[in-house]
Amino acid sequence: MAEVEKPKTIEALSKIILRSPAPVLLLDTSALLDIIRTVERPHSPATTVASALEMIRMASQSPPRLWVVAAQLVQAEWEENYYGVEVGTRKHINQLDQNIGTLSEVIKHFKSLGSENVPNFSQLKIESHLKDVSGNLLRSAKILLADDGCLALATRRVIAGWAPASKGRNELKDCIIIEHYIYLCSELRKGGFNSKCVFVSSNVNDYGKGGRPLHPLDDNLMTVGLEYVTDLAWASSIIRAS
Amino acid sequence: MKIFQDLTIKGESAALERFVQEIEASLEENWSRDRGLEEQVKLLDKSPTWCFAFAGRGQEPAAFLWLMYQEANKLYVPNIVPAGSERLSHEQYNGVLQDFYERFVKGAARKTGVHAELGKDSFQLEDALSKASAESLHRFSALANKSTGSSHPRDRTRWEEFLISVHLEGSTLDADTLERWLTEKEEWPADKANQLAIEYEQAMYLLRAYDGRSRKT
Repeated sequence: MAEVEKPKTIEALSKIILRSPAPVLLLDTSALLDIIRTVERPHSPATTVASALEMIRMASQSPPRLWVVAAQLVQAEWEENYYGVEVGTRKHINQLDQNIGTLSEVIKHFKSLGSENVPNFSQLKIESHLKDVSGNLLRSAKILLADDGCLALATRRVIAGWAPASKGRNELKDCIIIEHYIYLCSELRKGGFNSKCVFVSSNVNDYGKGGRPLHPLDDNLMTVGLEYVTDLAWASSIIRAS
Repeated sequence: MKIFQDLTIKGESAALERFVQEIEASLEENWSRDRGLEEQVKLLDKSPTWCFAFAGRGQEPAAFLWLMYQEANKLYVPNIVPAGSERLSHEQYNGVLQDFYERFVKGAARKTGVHAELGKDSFQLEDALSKASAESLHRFSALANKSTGSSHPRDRTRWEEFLISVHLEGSTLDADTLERWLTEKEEWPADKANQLAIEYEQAMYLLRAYDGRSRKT
């Protein structure tokens, strides 16, 4: 369970950030869960875990060198889904061990290849460590209290079918999350904040492929200076460069 | 290729108001008006928005059909949102819309003198591309190695011909539609179609940016 501090209103959090400006990382649930499944995704950047650890470190400094932010709904979705993802990663690692075991059996018949010790990755409980990193990143986040205005804006986004909503789908949760982030960034920019704001989500079907937000989300994000990236490693590069 | 149908209603604003009243008065069976959901968006929009709840029937799940102003004298259905978490297929979405149109919209439009139009339910490449660009894409798709996308030099040449042709004509074809066409009509593997769609989008951005820069210099 990720214990996080008490949620703050968007207005309250923007004041806190404005008092001590640093880049802002806004998390989608998918970005947190990607840390746990990083070893089973063929195109997952190898630096995902390193990026997450670096972000946790930056967020824990005083004053923070990075503000990590999550909507209340992200926290709830993480609690709801992390276990299933952890189990999936465990199964994937078990399968890898079986494959390596088979390979090792074959190698035994070829003395010239030598006999290597066969690693057993399952014993290392890698999935549990990954879940801890994911949970720690969430714990390092400031949680945004659900805002009625953002909920109404999210409903309108669903009705209009604007990304991350689309025709024939009920993507209210994603819309609620992004409306909170847009509003926070808008408050920050109004207060003169000029550091980077980066939203990370691997949900490319709903937000946009290749880091290009779908229309009209692209305009919405640009208006408040919010960059969209598809993985933590990419977010980390942007934050480091800022 | 199936697409989500549009429904637009044009008329003078007073006639459009009467049109919506007529619809509400004629609702029956699986249809009702959901004023509770309408209230949620009233907080934001002064312009009225109507929500009609469909209780579901057969293959079509329960859903909410929204009706709102697109401009002063034009109403449209921006979306039909499923009540549950499932996604409406094109057939389900269009089935709900057609039911609403046939049972309520047609009659209300006749009575109030507004013009209601139900859009197409299928997409042809020629809807978004010139004949030349459509042929160019057909040629690329038919001759390309579908396991390598656009990487073979000859495939790359045909792909670039298509990209340049689309850019020059200022086509409205979006990357998602292209991806769907490649997978559904041309049977491209999903990952290769996705990659081509990304390449398409990036190429369009690049060419437009290049044009913008050229004009300035």
